[in-house]
Amino acid sequence: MSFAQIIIITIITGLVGIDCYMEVFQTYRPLILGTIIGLVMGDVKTGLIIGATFEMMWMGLMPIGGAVPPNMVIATVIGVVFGIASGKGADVAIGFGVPFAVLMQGIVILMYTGFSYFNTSATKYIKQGKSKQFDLIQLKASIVIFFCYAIVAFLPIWLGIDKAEVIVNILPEWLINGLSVAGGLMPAIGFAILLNTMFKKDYIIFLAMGFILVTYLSLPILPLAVIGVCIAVYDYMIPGKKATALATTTESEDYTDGI
Amino acid sequence: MASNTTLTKKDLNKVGFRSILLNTTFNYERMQATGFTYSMKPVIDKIYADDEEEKKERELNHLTFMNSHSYAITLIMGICAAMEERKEKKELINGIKVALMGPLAGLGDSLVWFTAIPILAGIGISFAMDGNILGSIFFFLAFNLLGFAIRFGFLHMGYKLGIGILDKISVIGDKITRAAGILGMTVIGGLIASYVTLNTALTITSGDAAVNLQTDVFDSIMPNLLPMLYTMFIFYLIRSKKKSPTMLIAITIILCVIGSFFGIF
Repeated sequence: MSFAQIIIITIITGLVGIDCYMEVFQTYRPLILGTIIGLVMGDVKTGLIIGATFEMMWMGLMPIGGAVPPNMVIATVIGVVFGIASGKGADVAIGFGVPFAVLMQGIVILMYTGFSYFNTSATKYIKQGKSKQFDLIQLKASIVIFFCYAIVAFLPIWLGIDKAEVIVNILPEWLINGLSVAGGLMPAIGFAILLNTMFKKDYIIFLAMGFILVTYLSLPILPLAVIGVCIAVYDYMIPGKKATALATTTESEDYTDGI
Repeated sequence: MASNTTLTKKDLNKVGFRSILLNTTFNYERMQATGFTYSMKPVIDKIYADDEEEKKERELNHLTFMNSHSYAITLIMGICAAMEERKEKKELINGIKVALMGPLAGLGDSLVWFTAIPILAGIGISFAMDGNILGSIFFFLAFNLLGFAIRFGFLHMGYKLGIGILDKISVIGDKITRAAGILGMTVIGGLIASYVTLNTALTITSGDAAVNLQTDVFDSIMPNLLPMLYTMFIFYLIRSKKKSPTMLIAITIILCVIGSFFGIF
């Protein structure tokens, strides 16, 4: 891996990090970011597969109401870079990516705390009538976010990339196999968290239906989604006691567990 | 008090484009306050162009705690724009903001994060797992099309409806949330079957006959039974034991490594 590649990946991580903070274009979703990093590393296919695996893992981990999940941007960047550089692909990506994702989670919490500073300066600039300075706050914040992400991506890659293969080769077979099995189970975490946020007893039957249709009929997700839309529209249209039955929906959502 | 400045579509679109930067200054103290004020600024600047003091007052008024869905929040911006145009009292504007941010966040979360992402990403993943780059491209384009449709659609809708929407959102919102829940659950059921993988290597030997638990038992009765059971186990840990995502990842990795060591997987 050349130094130029490391720099390109560092810059991409910084920019995608801003998008992740803003929650706008979704370039930070592992499925998309994994592909981009794979492209820079010269192995799009592995990037795609690691990205898709992480995508499922993070599917339910949404940054809602200021809660901070382990950081998917850093996980994807480190996971894809080291997965490809070590030659082991998706099997080791989780082992490399997750620790840094947890580190970045802490740094994002620090940013969420420290950025209160911008409230103070916003108040000041409005009182002084300085419109230009007020608008520039957005840029200042973006620059801080950029460097926080860029540094966390740059250091481990720059310091560790030569050793990636060595590290992986001294690991025993059962450990690699264990990590690989864990990789297959990671989507369960994403889906379970998603379930928890939407869960209502009357929905269980639909979960079972989706599971059965795919397990026994090998239905792909797209036609399954179309079937789901049909049922949802039918349910929406039939008159009944829907509104009262659902009056508690929003209140019953529980975000206290950090997602 | 009648307003003599009317807002144009262009003014509203300015708010829409500025709302992209809503979360740039997100913080625990006032969350989206600065971003919301930044988005509303062109509207206030135009309406109060000849009253510098009132302009400052109005802008500071928006610089209070705000937290709603990153896209759907433009509905509130639209309503606020209509109210600023009519030069409504600051207290009334604040009341509307506080009343709407919670329900709208719930609606936006269930539609965008819990329905659109799993479905669109699920479709993208099915391509990506085969190494097809279309998976990423489809996800990116489809999601952004939806995201910007919501952003600008809600903005103009909010402006048109003004305050009248307050009653509607609680009734329609609940029905949409339920429809989204049904759709989301159906797809998650399918995603669990498609993408959670767990196979056991255990064999039971009785006399000469060796029964492979996975291929001979599970695969013939219900192939994805183990993945479903594990997902339910994690679900139980979240719902009843309130375990954090980081803890769940750690538990999964440790269980798998131990299981692998003893030859269970």
